[in-house]
Order: sequence, then structure tokens, then C-alpha cells
Amino acid sequence: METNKKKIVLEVEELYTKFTTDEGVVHAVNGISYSIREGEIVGIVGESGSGKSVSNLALLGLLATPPAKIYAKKLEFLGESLLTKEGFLDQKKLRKLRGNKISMIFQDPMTSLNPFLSIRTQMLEAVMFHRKISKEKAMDLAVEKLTLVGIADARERINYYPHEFSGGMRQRVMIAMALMCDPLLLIADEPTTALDVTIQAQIIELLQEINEKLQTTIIFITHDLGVIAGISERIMVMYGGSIVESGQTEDIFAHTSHPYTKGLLASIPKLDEDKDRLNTIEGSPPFLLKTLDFCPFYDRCEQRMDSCLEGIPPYIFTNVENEHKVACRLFDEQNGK
Amino acid sequence: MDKTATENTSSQAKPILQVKDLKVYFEMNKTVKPDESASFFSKVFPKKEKVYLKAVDGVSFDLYKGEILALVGESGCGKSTTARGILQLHRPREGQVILEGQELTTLSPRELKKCRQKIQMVFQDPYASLNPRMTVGDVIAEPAKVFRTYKNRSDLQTALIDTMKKVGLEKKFIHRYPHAFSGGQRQRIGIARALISQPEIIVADEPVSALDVSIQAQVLNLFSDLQKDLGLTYVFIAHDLSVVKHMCTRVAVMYLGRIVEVAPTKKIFEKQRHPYTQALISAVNVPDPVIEKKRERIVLQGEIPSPLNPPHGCPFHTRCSKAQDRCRQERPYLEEKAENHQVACFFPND
Ligand SMILES: Nc1ncnc2c1ncn2[C@@H]1O[C@H](COP(=O)(O)OP(=O)(O)OP(=O)(O)O)[C@@H](O)[C@H]1O
Ligand SMILES: Nc1ncnc2c1ncn2[C@@H]1O[C@H](COP(=O)(O)OP(=O)(O)OP(=O)(O)O)[C@@H](O)[C@H]1O
Ligand SMILES: [Mg+2]
Ligand SMILES: [Mg+2]
Repeated sequence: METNKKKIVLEVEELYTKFTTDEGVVHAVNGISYSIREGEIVGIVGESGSGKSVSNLALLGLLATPPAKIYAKKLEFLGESLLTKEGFLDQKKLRKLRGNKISMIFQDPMTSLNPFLSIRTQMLEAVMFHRKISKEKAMDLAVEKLTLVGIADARERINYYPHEFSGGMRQRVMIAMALMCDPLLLIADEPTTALDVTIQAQIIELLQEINEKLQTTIIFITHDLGVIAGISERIMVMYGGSIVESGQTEDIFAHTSHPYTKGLLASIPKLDEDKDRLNTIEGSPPFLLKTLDFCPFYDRCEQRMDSCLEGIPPYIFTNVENEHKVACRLFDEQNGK
Repeated sequence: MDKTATENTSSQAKPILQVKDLKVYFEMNKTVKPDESASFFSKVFPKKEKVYLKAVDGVSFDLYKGEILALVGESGCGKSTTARGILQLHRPREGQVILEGQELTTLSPRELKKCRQKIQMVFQDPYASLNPRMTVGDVIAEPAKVFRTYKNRSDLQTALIDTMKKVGLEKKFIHRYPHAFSGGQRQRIGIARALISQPEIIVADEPVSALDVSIQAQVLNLFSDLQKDLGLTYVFIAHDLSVVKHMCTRVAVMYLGRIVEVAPTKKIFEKQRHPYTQALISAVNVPDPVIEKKRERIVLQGEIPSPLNPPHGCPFHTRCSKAQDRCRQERPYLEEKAENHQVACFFPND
């Protein structure tokens, strides 16, 4: 395949993130590995609390350490390692990349925007930190980006403070901010949760456009499977701090393998059906206070078998051509022999 | 959910909540552009002029017991401000909010506090609405403590754990602080907080936007159980129209601070009479990559109007494909164009 020849932008091998809390150690991310090629749009889906945000915040060095503890075997951005010799994050390198070559759209705009500064101050500060550019130019750029995300009257509105915007507008301000430096890699954490369908369509079109024109690589975290179906080429499904299934989008929808992914797809309310109750996946998410030595989905799985208790299921290919991988004993037995 | 039952009773019964011509304005400083001839001084220090941002500009609706009224519309159209205006978190500039016969806009803060027992809100921005210095158990239990919903501590404790469980939060989280939760977990903290004091009306502002589909389904099922079993009434702000269609009995569509169409859910999904509603519903995503990648998205053309400079006439005319001269000059008001189906448009689809 042609895409396989493309440069690898981000390579992650066995990334772990733990939090030390009063109750004990929370194992939020348990050794995930993946690589992302230039110009790809990759979706991350998964249950609330499964580690989607934490894993990305961790690799950008955006979690306070302590309480977080981050470790990886390999973490490379465009072939350059972002780890120190001991396997911890190299904060100095990360600081140069963040908000510049890599930028992130945060899930919770109110926690990442400073409530005491106007949007203008925050947008200009960020770009002038990384680029040699005059204040006027920076201002023009900021207004341009705000207009792109559908903020009307941007030149006036840029003077507003975060609380003076609506929820969806704040989210779009975050997007505009993340686009200020034309990043090579954009990590978008639930960037359209607060947006109505028409503005959402506009934002998705915008992201697709920068992906095509500037070859921006995008990691798109969302719980909206409709959005992901439209935008991403590949999907990774997270559950309990691990990636349990991944592959090309069409393939994941057409040949859903992992029982968790199946449950996820069955829970979507659809416009063209009338149902009294929506499906849910019974049971509660895995207990993250201890590391498991068996399949994290075991307790809730309708297809569980005895062999599922024998260690963490290996993450193996079910279809190499479509890059379809799954961590489930059901497939281990069919293919592994 | 028995949608028809609530539709029928709604025409006879007395509304539990009435919103009449609600207006919420924000006073803003706008920089006045100095013209060419202006003095050097006024170019360097441009004048500021006070303008009103008309976030909600004449919203009216009646809410009946057991109803789930959806409030939908473009980002920034005034949904959250309407919600806050109903709860008097923003004092309306004009209009009335009548809760079970009691007018709220003229109440003192102390009198208002009593009414809040009946009406609770789930905030759109979960993190900003949670006190970071309180443990999650205390955050959730607070309203029940204030209103003395439960007889004693142990009843409260039982209710607390029960409510947490219902929204999918485990008991072991009780002593954690809000920052140590994921986005969706925080959203559920806000929902538990609104439910615990057993209100009659819940104004839920995008309550499930950060939840994955399975937990979203669990919360939506919980909402409809409460509606069926206890007759709980909701104003449900959401942008996910499949959720709206599944949950709500009636839909009100807002555009630039006003309601432009209201109808029972079934009717509005069958037939959109306002061109804006039509565009909105046609843009829904389908969770199927084959359909989704082929589909041409309908992205509204034309300039998004700003509430600082609202267009004359119909607020939607700048982006409406059917706009005529009359739409540019005259403002259409909500009118009943079919049974129970109100539209603010001079040239609605029929
Ligand atoms: N500071 C912290 N201390 C302890 N636990 C934490 C902390 N931050 C996050 N966690 C836990 O780590 C897990 C992963 O959280 P994360 O925010 O990555 O979830 P997520 O997949 O993004 O979920 P959502 O879809 O709800 O945003 C959660 O169970 C969360 O409670
Ligand atoms: N405190 C405030 N001061 C000034 N303007 C405000 C304030 N709160 C809201 N606004 C403005 O009022 C308008 C309506 O905002 P509101 O939050 O009600 O929108 P919304 O419909 O909830 O949008 P969203 O779907 O994005 O949450 C917006 O233009 C917003 O910028
Ligand atoms: Mg998250
Ligand atoms: Mg809002």
C-alpha cells in the first residue's frame, strides 16, 4: 500500500501512565503502542475513563508529575526521541514542540483557557512565543483563524474573555488557537462535543482541508462514532487503559471484532429507528487501582471464555492488509495456532 | 417512552413552567473605529461604546409536566443563556419566568433559593461548575444538604451512593477531587448533583455531550425512567439530534436568540417548516463510514450573523436560500402554521 511508505510522524511503544492517589496507584494507561504516519487522520474512541485524554496529555508532557508517572519504551516524533536516557519525558524538547509543531485541542476549554485574560492576549502570546512575528501580523492571523472556525465579528470578539463566549464558541476558540502555528501534528480531544451539527460539519471540513493542503497529521479523540466514520482513515479503540482494537475505519465498522467495540456500536441511538430503550454495555469499567493479568473486558464480556483469564490477550493482526488488530482470545484461537 | 400521551395532555393541563418573552442582554464595550479625519489621540485610544449583545431576544414557551422539551440550535444562538435566564442565574432584562404560578424574575435571592429546589440545572461546562476544593461526594451531596432532601445523614449517604451508581460513578470515587476525573466522569458528577435533591424540573445543558455511547445510553435511559416513574420534566439542550429524537417529546429550534420553530418531535423530524431547521436536520452524521464518506455535507453558506450586529428583518435571511425582500425588512414572529407546529418564517415549507 502506498500509505505504508509515508513517513512516521509519531511512534509510541509501551506507554504507561500511573497516578499516585490516596486510594492507591491508578493505572490509567497500560503500555499502549502505535504509530501514526504523515497526513493520516486517526480516530481514538473508547469508554469514558479509558485513558484517551491521559495517554495524549502524557506523551505531550502536559500532566503534572507527580501525581502522574509516565514511562515509555519508545516515543519518537519524526524520528527524534522525546525520551531521556532513563525512559522519562524530555521536557525541554517537548516545550519547543508544543504549541508549535504539535498542538492540542483540549477536551475542557475552560480549564485550558485562562479566565483572566482576553482571548486576544492568549492567542497572540502563544504565536509570538514560537514565531518572530509582529503584533499586528499576529493579530491578523488570529482574526483569520477565528473567522475560519466560524466566529462572527472576530476582530471585535477577540477582545472578549472566555466566559463571554458560549460553550461551543470556546471550543472553537481552542481550535483556532491550536491552528495558529500550522502544526504538523494536531491532537484534537473531543473537538466538536459542544457543536451543533452544522458548525460541526464546518469544523470537520476545515480539519480535512488542513489535512489535505498542509498534510497535517491529526489524532482525533471522540466518542461520536458518526463523526469518526466520516473523518478518520484509521481507528483505535481504547478500553481500560489499553488499545483493544485498531484498523482501517471501514474494516472496523464492517468486521467489528472485539466484543467491546461491538457493544459500543450497538449503543448508538440512530435517527432512523424508534426504540424505547437504548442498548448499554452492562457492568462497570475495570478497576484501575491494580494491574490486571487477564483481559480487562472479561467481567462485562458476553463471549468470555476460560482462556480469557490466562494473561492479557495478545494484540494481534486479524487482517494484515487492513491493519486490523485486536486483543481478544476469540481471535487468538482462530488465528494464533 | 409514551410520547403521544404527553402530547395530548399538554393541550389541556396547566403548564408547570412558562417562559414569556424572555430577554437576556449583555452590556459590552465595543471599540468604535476612528475615521480618517479623527485626531491622532482618538486613533491611539479609540473610543469605547456601550452596546448590548442580545443573547436571548424574546423567547417564549410553555413546559408541561412530564414533558421533555429539546432546545436545539447553532452554537452561540443563546441556548445556555436561556437556561440560565430561566434559573435566574442571569437576571433577564425583560420577560417573565413563571414556575408553578410563581413569577421568578421579581424574587429576592433568598426567595429564589427556595424555588431552586424544584428546578435544577446540569451545566454545559462540567469542570467550571464543580468546586475544585470539594471532594466529589460533597459536591454531589451539596444540594440535598441545602434543601434538606433527606431525613438524616445515613439516608443522604445511601442516596449519594445510589445516585452515583445510577450515573455510572463508582463508590470508591467518593473522596476524590474533580480534577482527577475524565471529561465524561465530570459530566456525570454534574448530573448526579442535579438529581440528588429530587427536583421537579431539570434544565440539562448538553448533559451527555462528553459521554461515550454506552454510558450516554445509560444516562438517557435513567432520564426517561425518571420521567416515566416520577413525572420529571426536562428542558434538554442538545446538539445531537439522534439523541433529541430518541429522548424528547417536543423540539424548539433557536436561531440568534429566538425560537424559530416548535413542534412535537415526531412532526419536526418528518417535516421541517423553517429552512434553518431543515439545514440542521440534514447535517446529522451517520455512524457508517460507507454512507458518511460519500455524503455531501450541507454546509450553510453565507455569513454567520453576530448577535452584536443582528441582521434586520429575519435573522436567518443572510444564510437562507429562500430569502426575499420581505425577509430583509420585516421580522417574522412565531405563528401556528399547522396543528401544534409553530414557525417564524414568511415562506415556510408546507
Ligand atoms: N489526576 C488524576 N488522578 C487519578 N486518576 C486520574 C487522574 N486523571 C485522570 N485519572 C483517571 O484516569 C482514567 C483515564 O482518564 P482519561 O481522562 O484519559 O479518560 P478519557 O478516556 O479521556 O475519558 P472521557 O471520554 O470521559 O474524557 C480515568 O479513570 C480517570 O479517572
Ligand atoms: N457572560 C457573557 N457575557 C457576554 N456575552 C455572553 C455571555 N454569555 C454568553 N454570551 C454571548 O451570548 C451568546 C449566546 O451564548 P450561549 O452560551 O447562550 O449560546 P449557546 O446557544 O448555549 O451556544 P453553545 O451551543 O455554543 O453552547 C453568545 O454570542 C455568547 O458569546
Ligand atoms: Mg477525555
Ligand atoms: Mg451553551
